[in-house]
Amino acid sequence: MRTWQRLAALAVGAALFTVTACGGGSGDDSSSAGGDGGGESAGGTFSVGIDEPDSLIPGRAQGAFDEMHALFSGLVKFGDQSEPQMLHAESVESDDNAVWTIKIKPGWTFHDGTTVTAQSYADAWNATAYGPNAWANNAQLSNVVGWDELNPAEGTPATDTLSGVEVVDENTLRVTLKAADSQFPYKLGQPGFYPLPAVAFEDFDAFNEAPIGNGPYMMDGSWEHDVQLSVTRYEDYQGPQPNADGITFRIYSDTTTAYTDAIGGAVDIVSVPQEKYKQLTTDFPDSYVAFNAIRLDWLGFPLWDPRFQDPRLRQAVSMAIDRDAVNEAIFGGLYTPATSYHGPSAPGGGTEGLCGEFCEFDPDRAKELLAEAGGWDGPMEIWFPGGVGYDQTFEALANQIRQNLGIEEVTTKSQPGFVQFIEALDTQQATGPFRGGWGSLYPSMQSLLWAVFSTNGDGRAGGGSYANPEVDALIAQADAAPSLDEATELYKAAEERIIEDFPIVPLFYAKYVYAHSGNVSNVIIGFDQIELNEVVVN
Amino acid sequence: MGKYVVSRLLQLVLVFFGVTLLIYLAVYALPGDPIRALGGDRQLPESVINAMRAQFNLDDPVLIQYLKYLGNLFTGDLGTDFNGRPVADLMGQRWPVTIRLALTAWVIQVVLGIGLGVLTALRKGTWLDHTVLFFTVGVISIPVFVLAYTAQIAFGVKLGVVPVSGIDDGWPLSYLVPSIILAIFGLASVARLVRASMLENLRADYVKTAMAKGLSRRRVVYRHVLRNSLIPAVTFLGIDLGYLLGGTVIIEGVFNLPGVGQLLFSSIASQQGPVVVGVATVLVVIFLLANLVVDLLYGVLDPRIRHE
Repeated sequence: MRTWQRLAALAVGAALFTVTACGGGSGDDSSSAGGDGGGESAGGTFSVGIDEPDSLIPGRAQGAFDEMHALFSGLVKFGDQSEPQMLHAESVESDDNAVWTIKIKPGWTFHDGTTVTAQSYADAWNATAYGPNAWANNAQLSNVVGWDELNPAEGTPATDTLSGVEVVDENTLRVTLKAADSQFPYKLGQPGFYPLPAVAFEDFDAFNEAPIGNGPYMMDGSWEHDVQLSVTRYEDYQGPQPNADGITFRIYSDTTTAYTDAIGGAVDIVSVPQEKYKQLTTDFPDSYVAFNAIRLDWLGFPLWDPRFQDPRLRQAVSMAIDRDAVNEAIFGGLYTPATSYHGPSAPGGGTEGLCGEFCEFDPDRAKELLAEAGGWDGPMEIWFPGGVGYDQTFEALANQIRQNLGIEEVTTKSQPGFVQFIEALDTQQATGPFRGGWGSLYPSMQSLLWAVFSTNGDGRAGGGSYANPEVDALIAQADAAPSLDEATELYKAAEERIIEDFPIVPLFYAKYVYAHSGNVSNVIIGFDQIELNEVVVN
Repeated sequence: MGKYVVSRLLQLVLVFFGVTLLIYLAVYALPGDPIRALGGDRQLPESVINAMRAQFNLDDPVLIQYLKYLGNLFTGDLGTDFNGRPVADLMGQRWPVTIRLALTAWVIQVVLGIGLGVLTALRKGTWLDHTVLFFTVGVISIPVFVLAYTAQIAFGVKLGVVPVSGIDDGWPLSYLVPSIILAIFGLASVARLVRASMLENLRADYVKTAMAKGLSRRRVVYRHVLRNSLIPAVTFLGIDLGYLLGGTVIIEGVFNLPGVGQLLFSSIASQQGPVVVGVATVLVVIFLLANLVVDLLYGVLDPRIRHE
């Protein structure tokens, strides 16, 4: 009876064989570490830790900003400046903020050698705005004339082009907006306004696997999902030349792992996960960068709930929170406690201090305000999406409110995930203060003010569905202002008016926090995240 | 035995339908609108939401959705995730990673687990027996997170003998530490099962008989005692293979291995029905097949167990 022996041997053998057979596939990573430089600049390659992009088509990708800026060049860029800088655009001009003429620099080419023309932009915008394509950046074009026709409430649209986008000649576009928008040049920096080459329209899915852009770097091979994507210098790039010869974007499913990998030197630049802020100065004493982006974290209120109607109650909550203590305890002091909605990096120097005493920590005054507002009965529930990094922060906030406002029962109502949390806000089921936040995709005050606080904003759920016709009018005035400076002043006025109503408790001006290895230097973080062109490989 | 296998395989088909329906219903029953949440803080335009809902049949009643899913399945179309990536591609890329990881761990369990079990049974009461016992108990009581991060820092960051994370270095280097961590828990159980079972059998009458007949000790131990002692370990290892395949989510996260554990976790969080059903169904089928093999192995190990 030897069969069992053979069987067992076979089973183990088969298992081993499968393992080794599978192992054969992946093997060596083909990086030849950049030795083949063109010679004129620093050269070398470096790596950046990213999460798996949802898409590499600019009109469709909601994240992937760094990858996008390597592969594509839009009309404008920002870097660490809050004013738009011309990138591929020669000029962006308008007399009335409604009809805009965009001239592009001639002679730029896509990575397949075809010329980037005004038509490349128009085609891409049409595809992004076409409702049935269901691209996530669709709404970035919603103020262009013709967008409504491409996005009917029901049925398929009768046309597939934006009537408000006109190709005047090979290098000139004329864009007509539905409503005047002084901030239109800012919006051009968003991925929804990038160009696409003709080849993209043959098969978007195939294009997505190895996009052909017009940026400083081109794909080196195709996108290895969940592993990496490599890009290499595009020799015919007409814009500002990058220093490095290539970049490998390494994909991580867990940002903590990316961080550990950066400590080990296996990846050069990583975005630092929030839970590591406190040990950042120990792990990367001289090589981390925290950039004050236009991003606000706040505590929102269910403004539909009668118990939260009195602004004094909301101000009381605000004054009960020791922002400095939370900042130290949770964010390692990296964030800046908010005293308005816009930090110093916003155009015109921001609006710090607009909140006045109501953003100062003063438990006694807070209790007074609460009493004036009629006090509080029963439990107060704090809502946030659980398991995605907010738990600690909102536990801390709940503690602050409990101790400093004298409300006995402040509980956290953690939702199973983001899906359920958003649903609770959308359907107005949330019964207490909740997590709010907004990261502006372009560094204009318009982004946050319009999206969260105007009646038509696409982020108003996060502001408790606040609505005030006066605010709408002020924002519209700013949108129509004849110059960017005047617009900025008017947005400030709008913000001041909103703060009077005190719909939200501003908490922190959040930051983009990055760490890098000793392999790279000159790591600059700006509104477009990493300034990839500037990175120097040592 | 052929008949037995066929009937078991037929059962598999029934289980397949039951499981896919159940998982589909479970994903559907989760609260919240997954499409709405895709935009995060920015609400997507109505037209985009409608187009996506239509694309994923989310406006149909759940049973119709399920039937449409099955219909597509039989034409070889497993559907796509919300980013438009075919589920078949996703699984084709991720299953090999998880299978490599789980099988490596499993082989470690088989070889080391049975080996240590036999060794400690034969050297009962010696320092070796005590040391193994101490370490297996000690290691089991440490949470897997702690063990995984510690191993990562020690071997990846400090010593630099294995990659910190990722699968760039391929099998075996990239899989070595994660597999060992994954194997450790089952390993201790296998070793102790084999040890206990061996000790019991070593005292059995048939061992004395075999010795009396003049068989060598070696032959008695390996041919008779070990074989009779393997049944509990084989049962455990069969079930454990399923556990290893499905239980890799933490290890995959820590070591950044793009396998199905992570995929399943994130797809449940974002409520992507077709992905969850596809991955989970394969998991169930593997589990059932592993159990079928275990049942067949019983018959081989112990002729008294017959499958008619």
